[in-house]
Amino acid sequence: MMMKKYWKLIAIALVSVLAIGMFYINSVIAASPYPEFVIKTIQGNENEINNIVLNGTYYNRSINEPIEITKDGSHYASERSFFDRLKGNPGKQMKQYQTEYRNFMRGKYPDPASFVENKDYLVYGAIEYKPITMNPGGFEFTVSILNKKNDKTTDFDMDAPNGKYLGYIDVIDVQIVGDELQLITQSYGENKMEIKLYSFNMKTNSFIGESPIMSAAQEQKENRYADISMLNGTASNEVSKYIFLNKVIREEVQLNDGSSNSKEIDNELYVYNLETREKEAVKLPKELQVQEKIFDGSTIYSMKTDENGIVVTPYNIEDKAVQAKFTIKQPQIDKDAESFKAIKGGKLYVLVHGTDENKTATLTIVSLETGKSLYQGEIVKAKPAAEFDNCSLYLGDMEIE
Amino acid sequence: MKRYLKLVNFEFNRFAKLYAVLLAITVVLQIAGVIVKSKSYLNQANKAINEDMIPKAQFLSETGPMSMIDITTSNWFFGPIALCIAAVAFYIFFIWYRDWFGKNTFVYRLLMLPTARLNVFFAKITTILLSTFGFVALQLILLPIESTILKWMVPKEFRVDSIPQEIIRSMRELSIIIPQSFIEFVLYYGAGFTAVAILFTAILFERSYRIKGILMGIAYCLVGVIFFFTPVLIEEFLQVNYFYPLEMLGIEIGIGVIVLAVSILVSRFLLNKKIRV
Repeated sequence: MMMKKYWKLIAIALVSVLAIGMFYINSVIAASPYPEFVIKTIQGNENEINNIVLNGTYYNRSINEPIEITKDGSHYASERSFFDRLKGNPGKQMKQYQTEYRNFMRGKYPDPASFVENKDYLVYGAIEYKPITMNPGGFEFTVSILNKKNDKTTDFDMDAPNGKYLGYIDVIDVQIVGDELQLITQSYGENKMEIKLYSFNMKTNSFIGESPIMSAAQEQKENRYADISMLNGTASNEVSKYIFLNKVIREEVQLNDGSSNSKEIDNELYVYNLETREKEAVKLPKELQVQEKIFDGSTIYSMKTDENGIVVTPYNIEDKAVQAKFTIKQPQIDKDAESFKAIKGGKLYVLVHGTDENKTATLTIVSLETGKSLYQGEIVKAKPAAEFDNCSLYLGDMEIE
Repeated sequence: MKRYLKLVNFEFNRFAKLYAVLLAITVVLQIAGVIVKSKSYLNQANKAINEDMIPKAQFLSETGPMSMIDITTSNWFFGPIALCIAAVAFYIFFIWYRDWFGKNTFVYRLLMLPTARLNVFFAKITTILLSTFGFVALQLILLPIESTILKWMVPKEFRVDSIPQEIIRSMRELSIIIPQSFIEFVLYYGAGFTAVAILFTAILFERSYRIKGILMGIAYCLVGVIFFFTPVLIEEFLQVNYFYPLEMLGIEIGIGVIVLAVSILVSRFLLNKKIRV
């Protein structure tokens, strides 16, 4: 009697609970619909890749999924739990800071370039844009210093000097030299790009002053562009004595088919000593100047791809000498292949994208001391390759803990 | 409890006919969509390969194989969903106003029932929630069926099979209706439930104070929404990110519960003391 009267209600409730419940239970237990990617060791010690995370995107027709590949295999963004996705992925180092120094990291944008750490301090320095303040331009330096010994945090703010002349300013590195905190900024205003150093006394929390490092005026010729960038190298949250700046002038060349191509006109490399505040041009041999460069401590590594692999030429800026070059052999070399390079703990990590469907990329680790290969591996689809014909993997970043 | 269930049953049965029609439209249109889309794809393939003499491999690389995603992005698929969404939105208002404007002011009898008047509110909001879940369930049942029909119609070499999770993720609208994890499902529909409670309270303001009540109802909605988003708005305005995402989620859940509780209390007050028949 009761059932008969309520059947519609019972039916819809039951069907809803079952269908929705089954769907979510199935989502948890079902295998991933995407292929598994692994780093297959070709040669060397597998332990070398324990600390590597490769980030990329998996494409299959209208699907694109962020993917993370480590020694243990691949993890797709959709496989991460809701809470994990909510927390975001600012990278291992920033995540570690967020767990270890939760309150210090509160409200700080997790960009490795804004942090520096030594045995006593963890320092954050950034520019915040606050258009509602009285400060012309609205740019404000924000500095936080955590004394790791007594767990005390000191914060202070300061309006960026000459803010009204700036169109844009960003902190590109934070460094500690003795008791001095240095913010290296890149700014753009009044038709020139400038790299400047702002220093603060960490004992008294006061502003010491600013020193110009470099500037590039906007070229008079219409289609020429000057750009200054920091050379990649030692992780930016580590203390280093030097920073390397690369000034490149490019010219946009209009091609016949209407498209345009940019051509490098000039490429100058400078080293800035943060202790002595001296800038010096790095006189690299001509053929090295145009090559891709990465630094570690006081050595610059120039890299070029040829038919045997990647040729690495070290150059020490202290004794101003080119050292013995070495070649990183690549199993299948493609001159146009995109590659990512990083240095950590005296090792050079190279990730090269293949163009072959099945062999997606190769990863090589070389000891910088000896030039010998420590590890070589391939990123490949683990099992059923045939099922995922239309798919492709693009790796866009390599993280080394 | 029994009174409440009786009221839910009563409310649901009043909606049942229209609801059944909506379910039927969804089933018919979506399945028709699979058939029509598959047929037109096969015709296209047939014409290309047999008439224009394009090799099969070339056709596949140029046009691509057929998949459920071609169907979900067509109006055959989303049309009925949009219709159901519109119907629920309309029914949120109609579920109250039919009692006043229907034959022989039914609301009079409804409010005279020997039970807490708030049960009327709960019965109506349960009906809205349950019918929404019914639509979601139907879609979840239909997806594998549609995939199977596609498998019958299109030969293997011309199609890509995908599981329901993939189909849902490939379409933004669908992944809002059916979120990726159960936690998100609870959060999304909890937020929806709260929004409906706010709207119900606004309707009751109007039913209590008529013209003046419209303004009160609109003001109530605005206050509710602004209060709910206060932490986000403050962070946005001051340009700080003081809270970690998980903390923000906790705060928002807390505020959501407060907004819901206030809506229920205000509705009880209006139903008990101010409602006009």
